[in-house]
This record gives sequence, structure tokens and C-alpha cells, in this order.
Amino acid sequence: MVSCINHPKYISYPILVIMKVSLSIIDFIILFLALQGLVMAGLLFYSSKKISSNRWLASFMLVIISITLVMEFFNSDLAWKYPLAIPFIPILRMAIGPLTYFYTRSLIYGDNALKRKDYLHFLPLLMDTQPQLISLLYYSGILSISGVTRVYSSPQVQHFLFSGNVLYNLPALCSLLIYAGLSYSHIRKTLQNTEPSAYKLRDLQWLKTFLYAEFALIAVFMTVIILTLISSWNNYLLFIPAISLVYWLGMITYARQGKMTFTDVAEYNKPPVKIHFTMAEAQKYQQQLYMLMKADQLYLNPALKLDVLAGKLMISEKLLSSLLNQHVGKNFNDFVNEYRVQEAQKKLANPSLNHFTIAAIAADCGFNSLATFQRCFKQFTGSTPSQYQNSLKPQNHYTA
Amino acid sequence: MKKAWVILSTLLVIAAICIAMIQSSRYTLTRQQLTAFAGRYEMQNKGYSAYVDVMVKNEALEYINSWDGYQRNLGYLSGDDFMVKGLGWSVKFGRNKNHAVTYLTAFDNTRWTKINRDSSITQAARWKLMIDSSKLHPIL
Repeated sequence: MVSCINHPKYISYPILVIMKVSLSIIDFIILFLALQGLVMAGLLFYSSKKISSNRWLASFMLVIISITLVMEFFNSDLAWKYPLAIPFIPILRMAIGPLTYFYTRSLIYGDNALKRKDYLHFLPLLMDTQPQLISLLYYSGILSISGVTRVYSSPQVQHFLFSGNVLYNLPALCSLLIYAGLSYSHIRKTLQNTEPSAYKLRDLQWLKTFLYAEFALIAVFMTVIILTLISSWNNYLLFIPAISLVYWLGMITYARQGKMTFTDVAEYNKPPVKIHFTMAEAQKYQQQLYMLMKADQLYLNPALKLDVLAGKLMISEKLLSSLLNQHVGKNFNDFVNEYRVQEAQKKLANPSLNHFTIAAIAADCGFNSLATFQRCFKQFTGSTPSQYQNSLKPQNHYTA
Repeated sequence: MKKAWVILSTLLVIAAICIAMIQSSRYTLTRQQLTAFAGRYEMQNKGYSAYVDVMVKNEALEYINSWDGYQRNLGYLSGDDFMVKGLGWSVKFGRNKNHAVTYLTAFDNTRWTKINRDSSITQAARWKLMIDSSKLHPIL
């Protein structure tokens, strides 16, 4: 019933017929590369026990292979010959973008388990479940309700559902662009703000190459969409670069991990430190923090806790902790106690405060207990408070 | 928790299959009713003719295109509306004043006129159709 001009036989020139399936040379090349890619993806999946990020790449490859095979299914007449098989064939093109993103993320931040909200990235896959939904509506009897039938059979709805137009490819193009851009920004951010290990640096370089290849593929995709708009040209040839990319990815990744020793793999799989701040942000918060400590002398408050300081900086406790650990190089207690000890040193050296006990000075500097004060004093100055005070007294006496 | 999900999804699948079986048996037409739609339909476009032969087989409608010879099943929806199973395209049959089926409208809004109103297709006719098709479309 479909217009015979749109029939695939009029687009490609069949040179060989196997089991009444028409295949051209291009079909053979594509199928051969798809088969090679399938083997590579299988090998990567198998070896993902060693480097777990590879299962994202293997999934990425499998999705492109499945899209290629679906295209061949339609192009080789099988779909038109056996249309009842169509609802059983998943179309996964909307998964390419999220898989790129998760692969990038797993290489940069380590391969953590997906959270619930991460699964939402795969929700757009529902856009390609049209045959499945129609079959479901048909077999459940919903399509047989006369009102529903009227709407479903209306020319507008049928035109929207079955007349291929540019809208069909736009969501996939947008998804690819957004996720490739997002992945690229993660790479840039990581390169700017951290000093990655040699392995990670190589990973980031590799990710950049991978994304450049994907951007090239997106450019081809865009060209095809424009050509389709102008001249209703068939987008059959896009699959050659796409499936070649899969083959190339598989070869490079497999060769790369083949060169790694056992120690390399162990080092490689070390969980990375999570980056919360860019360098500029870290500097800004550090300045604010020093200002609070020096000008406002917050350390004199014995009840000063992480949440109080975080509240003053208007960031979360987790972020403050990360700022102190990663950028200041101290934990919260050491950071505050160092200021307190410096204050205590000033007071101990002040002759007008000689009549105060060490415990009183400790309490005045924000320490809750004498024991903590003495431990911290020793830690930061190398001597006890009384030793420090005594070392100053004769000098004062001599000078006097 | 996982076990509960497995049980729930299994029950849902079973329920869906049961509903599907019940519903699909509800929306069917008798052989006599279906025979009214059977026949050859023609569409002329830019000097060539294309044919579609609709026939009753196993208490359901099927059709064959003249240009590829592929046989497809039509699922009944309601009234005179059918759907090509698997592909989802709607096929709407039209009647004249005497309530006889005279044309069909395909999903792309093309109108196909019935040209042998009283015949149902036999195997011999199918072979003839194939020969007609090869004349019409030499590339096949």
C-alpha cells in the first residue's frame, strides 16, 4: 500500500539475491563492519572486568551496530516482507548521547553505579517505541474503540506517524549534540582544575579524540538531514562512517588495554577524588575563609563547628570540607586550632597577661579543654605552652 | 524489594497477555462480513497503475501489493477501519449509497478504487497478479 517509489528497491541496486534478500556492495561492507564491531564490542564487554568503563563503550558500540542492523532490516526488504517482526525490534538511537556521556563520566570520575536520576537520561528512548505502542494499543483493544479509531485513522495523525520528515531525526541530532557538548565540557573542566595522573591524562586525551570523532559523525548526520530536506536523498551512506567509527573504537580500546600490566590496571582503577571547585572558585572561597578567620576571629568561639563556618561562607558542609582538604591542605580541626595556637602564642608572649593561667589563655583562645590546647600547641610549635612561656621569660628579664 | 518487583511485573505481563487475547477475540468480523471488503483495488498515478488485492484468509483480511508481491495482514479496528499489522498503517474502506465497498483509503491518504467488486482472489488470480506486476514494474 506504500507508494512504490519509496520502496527500497528503487533506491539501492540489488546485485545479489540471497534467500530473496536484496543486498548491494554497500550493504555487504556495512554488514561486514557491523559484524567486526560486534566481535569487538563482545571482547570489550568480556574484558570490562578489568576496566569497567569499557562496558559503556561496548554499549555505545552495540547501539550503533543495532541501529545499523535495523537499517539493513528495512533496506533489505525483510521489514516489508515480515512486518509482524517490526514491533519486536527496538530502536535505540536516543541512547547514543547518554552512553557517550556516561562513558566520559566513568573515565573521569570512576565507574560508579547509576543513581535513580541517571536512568532518566534514557527516557527519550520512549520516543522511538512507536511500533511497540501501536501494537500494544491494537492488541489491548484500545485502538478498536470507535473514537480512538477515528482519531488514529485521520489523515493528520497518519501523516504525523508515518510520513518521514525532518522532525524524525531532529531529536536524535539534538540529543547527540547536547551529550557530546556536555561530555566535552567535563573534560575541559577536569583538565583545567586538576592535575590528573598519567593514566587519567591519557584517558582525557583519548576522550577528546573520541568526541572529535563523534562531532565529525554529527556533522555528517547534519549534512544528511539537510540533503534529505533539499533533495529527499536517502541517508543510507551515513552508516559507513558510523560503523567504521565502531570498528575503530573497538580496535583502539582493545589494543590500549592490551598493553596495560596488572599494576597499571590496579593504579588505573583507583577511585579519583571528586572535584567540587574550579581553581577560581576555590581561590574565592579561600580568601573569604581567611577573611572570616583573621578579621572576624571566628576561631575564638569555642562552639565553632564545620556547619557554622559553612553557613558563614554560604556553602554546604561537604563543600567546605572538600575546600579545606583539597585546597587548604588541612582538616577543619587543624585549620581552626592553628589560628587558636597562634593567638595563644601572642597572649603567652604578652607580659601584661602573665598573671593569667595557661588554662585561662587556652579558654580565651577558643579551646574547650586544656589537654587539647597542650596537644595542639605541641603539634604546631614543637613545644608545650609552659616551655614556650619559659623560653620567653629569661629573654624578657635579660632585656629588662 | 527486588522480588516484589519481579512478581509485580510478571503479573502485569500475564494480565496484559490475557487482556490482549480477550480483546483481540472481541474485535473480529465474520467471514461473510469480511468478504465484502475482498477484491482488487487500483490506483492510477502519472500514467501507471498499481494494484492491491484484498482477500479473506483464516477469518481475517490480507492484501498483496502488485509491486512487491508481499502479503500483509490487516487487523480489524472498528467500523470499516483496519490497520496493517506490524506497520500500523491505517486502511479505511469506503462504501457507496448501496452500502457496497467501492474504495479504500491508505494511510498516505491515497484512494484506491475497487475494480472487481464481486470476486474474491483465487491462487490463479494471484499468479496473474504477479505477472501483471512484472509487466508494470520491469525492475522486479
